Amino acid sequence: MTPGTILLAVAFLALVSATGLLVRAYAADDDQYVEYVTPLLGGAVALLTSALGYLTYQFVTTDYSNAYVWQNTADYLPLLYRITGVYAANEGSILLWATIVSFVALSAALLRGMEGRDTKLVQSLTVGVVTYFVGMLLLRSPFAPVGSELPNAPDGYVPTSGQGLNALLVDPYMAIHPPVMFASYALLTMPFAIGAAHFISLLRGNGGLYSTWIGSVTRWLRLSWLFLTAAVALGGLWSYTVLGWGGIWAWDPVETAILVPWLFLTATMHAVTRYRPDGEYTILAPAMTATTFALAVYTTSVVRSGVFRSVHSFASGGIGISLLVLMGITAVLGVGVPFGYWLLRDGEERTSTDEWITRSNMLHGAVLLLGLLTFVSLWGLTFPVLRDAVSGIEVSVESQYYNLWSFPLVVAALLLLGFYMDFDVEGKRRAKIGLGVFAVATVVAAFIAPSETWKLTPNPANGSLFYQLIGNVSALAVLPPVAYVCLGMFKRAAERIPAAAGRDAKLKEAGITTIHVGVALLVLSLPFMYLFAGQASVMATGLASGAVDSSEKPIEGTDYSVRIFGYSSSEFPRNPPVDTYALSTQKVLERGQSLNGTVQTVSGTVTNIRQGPRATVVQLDGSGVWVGVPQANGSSASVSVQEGQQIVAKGRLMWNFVPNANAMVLTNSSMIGSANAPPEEVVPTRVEANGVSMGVYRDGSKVTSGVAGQRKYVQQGGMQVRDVLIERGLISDTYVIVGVSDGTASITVKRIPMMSVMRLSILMLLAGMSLVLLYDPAHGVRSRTRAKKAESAAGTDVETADD
Amino acid sequence: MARKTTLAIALVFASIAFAAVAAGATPISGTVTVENGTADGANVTVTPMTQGFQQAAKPVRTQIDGEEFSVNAPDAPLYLVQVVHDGAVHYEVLRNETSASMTLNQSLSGTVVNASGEPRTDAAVELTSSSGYSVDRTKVDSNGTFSFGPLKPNATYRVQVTVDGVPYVRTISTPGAGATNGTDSITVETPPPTDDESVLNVSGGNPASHVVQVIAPQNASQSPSAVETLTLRNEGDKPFVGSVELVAPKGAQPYAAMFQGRQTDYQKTPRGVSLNVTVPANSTARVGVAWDLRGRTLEKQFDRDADSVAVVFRGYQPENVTHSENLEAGDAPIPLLTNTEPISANDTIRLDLPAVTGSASASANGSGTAAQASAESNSMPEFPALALFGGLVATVAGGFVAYRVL
Repeated sequence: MTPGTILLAVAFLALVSATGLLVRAYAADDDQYVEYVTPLLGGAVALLTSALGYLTYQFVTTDYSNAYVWQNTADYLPLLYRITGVYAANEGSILLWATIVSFVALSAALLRGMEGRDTKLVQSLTVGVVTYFVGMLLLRSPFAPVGSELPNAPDGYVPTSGQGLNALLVDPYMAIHPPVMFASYALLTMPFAIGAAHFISLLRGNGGLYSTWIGSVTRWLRLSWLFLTAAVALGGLWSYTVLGWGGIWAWDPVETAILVPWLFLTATMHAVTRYRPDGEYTILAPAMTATTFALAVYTTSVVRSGVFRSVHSFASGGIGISLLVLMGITAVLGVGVPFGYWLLRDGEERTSTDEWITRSNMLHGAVLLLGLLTFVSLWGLTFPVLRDAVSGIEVSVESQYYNLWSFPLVVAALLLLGFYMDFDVEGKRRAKIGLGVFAVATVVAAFIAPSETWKLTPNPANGSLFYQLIGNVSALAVLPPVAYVCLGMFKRAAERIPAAAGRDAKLKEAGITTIHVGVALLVLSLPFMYLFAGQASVMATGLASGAVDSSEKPIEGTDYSVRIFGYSSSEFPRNPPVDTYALSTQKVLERGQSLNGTVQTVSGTVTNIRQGPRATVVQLDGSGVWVGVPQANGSSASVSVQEGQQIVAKGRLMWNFVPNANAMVLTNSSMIGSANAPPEEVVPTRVEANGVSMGVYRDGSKVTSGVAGQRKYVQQGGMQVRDVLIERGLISDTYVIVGVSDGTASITVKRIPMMSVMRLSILMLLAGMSLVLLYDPAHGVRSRTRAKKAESAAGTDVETADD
Repeated sequence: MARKTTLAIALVFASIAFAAVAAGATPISGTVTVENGTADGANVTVTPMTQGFQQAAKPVRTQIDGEEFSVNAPDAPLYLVQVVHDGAVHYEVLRNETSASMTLNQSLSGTVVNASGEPRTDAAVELTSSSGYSVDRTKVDSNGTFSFGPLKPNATYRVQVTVDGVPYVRTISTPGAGATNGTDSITVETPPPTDDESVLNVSGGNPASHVVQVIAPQNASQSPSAVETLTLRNEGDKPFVGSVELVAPKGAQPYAAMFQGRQTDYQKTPRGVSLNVTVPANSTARVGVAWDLRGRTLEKQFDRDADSVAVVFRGYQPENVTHSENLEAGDAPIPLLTNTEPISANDTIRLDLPAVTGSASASANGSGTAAQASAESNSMPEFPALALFGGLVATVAGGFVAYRVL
């Protein structure tokens, strides 16, 4: 057992005890032993943090005795990417996730205490989730010894170099995107626990707990939304820079998997604002709260576990099957229990009033539309899996499915949003006229397509009526709804912000306005970003010959031209220190027998040279480590080393191969040489970078210049990563992709409009939600602390109308 | 209670209905019978195709169980069924049907001989289906003979023998079931090739043997370009291997050339360009040159007789183009101009193109050529930022005013 596994095992024990004590206290409805739960949880948090710290330490020091470290890093990587390697694969990601969840559970325990039966239930669910994650880690530990991955290696064998980090992950976004995403998933645990506990409590006749926890639920939901939004945005921007196709979104299953909980979380927050303990959304709001986490686990399982893709991964994937079990549990608690309660409850249907257009009905519409949007993505993700399971055919869902189904829903949601805001200010009659005007404008705009470029998908591959109809809609159709939302939001803000009582209420209103205008701008930017993205290519030849033709090359069919200034080709690591790739004689002797039969690079100072009839042998550092160079066919091979020279040599290491030597490295004359100028084949090349420095011109004036090209990771299956050149502009980004091979560069210039609007809208979403999270007079973090200080609302949350 | 259950069930049905629209699928089945053998276990690929014979969706694969197979393929107007049996690929195109039936009971053998009748031992032979897909390839043995089979009955195949890079083509039909009207053995003579350009005629091709595609420039400051595609038929009995010269429209400069749909090298000549081509006897090949025009006029003097000439447009409406009297609007699904009577060498056509206003739309029509594909990939639609944001601001501001005033 490695130290890391011990840390995890002790944490697991502490968590199992904490969960056990909570469940016991809940079942018996007393407070016995409950005082131990928080210390146990605190201990688990400390242990998990130490485990994460220890794993990070192993990555930083490249301790290849750990299989996970060996698989996910290498010495040549800079410190930042050695640290990010911690969460480059499943095991480390789960450890990160578990650690963040443990912090969430601990903070909930500290904030809410263990008073009351329902509280114990909530806490036992959150602690239970942490326990489950740590249990998963014990099944498939990030601290497994490297021997478990190399069953044929001798005992105690430690590789001298790591396999390296997935090339796509060598990017600054790697440092921030995964932790933000796991934090958002971890934060969803609390609403899940509260929602699920609410229904368990209801079913057991204890009356539920949602109404007393509504403040917590709101804060946790907003906080997770903030993180999830940031995670989606960071992921999009990452793919924009690293994938080299110049887009932020491609409906890749992994992307869709994070969008589904995002959309549903958005819907949930709208339902929760309308929650009244004895009125509306008594079931739906808590049910949706619980379901969001279940959805996040479900989508993660679909794309990560591999279980859905193939039955065979049951055998190998410890994480896969664990995720599947977790999915089952969360689905039962988050979806099954609320649904069952809803079906069984005595049907006391609310009598509907004659009035149709009410704010609550409009909010129903918003929840419904967001729910449908979620369903579109969820179904696109699930359909291939179901289809595969039922018919054995794997189909891929094209992006046009997502785009064309989501488009009308988004437009409808915006019109509804505009109407809602207008209704608040203008009253029913005038708002109805406004809605009519903008709805007609939307329909008219849908037919105004100055060119084919404006149409969403002019020739959809699926010829059915729906696709033909929506595919031929002009992107201009988003403009009226977006304008309607902006207009409605501004009018409402102009009326409500001055009228709001107190600074906090004003800030909250400003936040709500910022978020919704941000959404409108986001919706405006997306279709145009894709439809009006243009690209053009040109070839430049004769790069490697040294004489680079730096004349201006026009790009056919466009007003762009490019000019190549130079070409560079380099390898990494560049002149690495000998000790990063070669073993010293001392290390060879330390590792001893375990190196027998493996290919190693050794270095040392020559202390003896013996010329034999069939081989030349060289002693290093006066030790028992020798290097042997056999002579081919009796020719007098010259080994160009002298005594006193420091050399490196690579070859198969044989332990106790000849008398009087502990280790003999059998090499050949091309694999041995001076340590100062080592032979090519001995020094490991990790990355081959090719790039051209170039300028891009439009109508003769410079748009951007810089180096673009590609990096090839030779030891990772020759995987290639593009180094793109991005000039961020107010109206459009200029995006340059260069592929260099055999002295020819193929240069593609892309122009992507609306990127700045998209970035602005993301910032607005984040800023707006931060304001709401902090300053909401009812449930804000700041307002709450202040209220606590004033001791006006000790214990429970203030119940005030939300809007 | 009952209402809720109904609602829940309705939701489930709604999901299922949604599924049907999300990606419709068609069951495709078929039987494959092999005389004196079995196709059991053979791989079958069903590729959904568009009317234009482009792949419409991902292919689905299965294996033959006994004699039969069945798969669910995404909806498409056409399906291409490929069966791999014994190293050869057999094809069937399904139009408006969902069941394929394939019998493999014929064979084809042949001998490759030189002009004096002696067997050639260094020939490669490729068999192609009538739809243009490669069925099988082999090499002749030391007696100069080759054989293919089992093949489909009553089917047309193209046999291409290549000796020293020179192609010799024969088209055969296999005998029908029990009948004898077909070929099961051929002798391919391989006379040395000729480089006499007079064996080549401009003939065949779709929509015409001589197609001129006129492409509008991206903006008004640039000149239009034209892609000429000629279908050359070798009327002689020897393969043609040599260079052909294509004459440039007046003042035009070449920027690309293609042979059989692929870009190729060319040499500039005083009159135009010359490029190396290979045309088997009694067969056709397509050559093309892309020109940058000077000004907005295309004036082209023909140097070869052409039975049919078509002018197609990209970015222009034919009704806005003034043309010489030997051209008229054609009645094809795509807008084009055709010749009024056969055009012979030294005839001239002339087009006066309208000026391009704003950004030319990239509406794709015309026949698919390599030059078109590359020109099409270069597209930079102008983003109407000012109009769009101006519209947004104006609508919001106008809305404010309207609410105030009304």
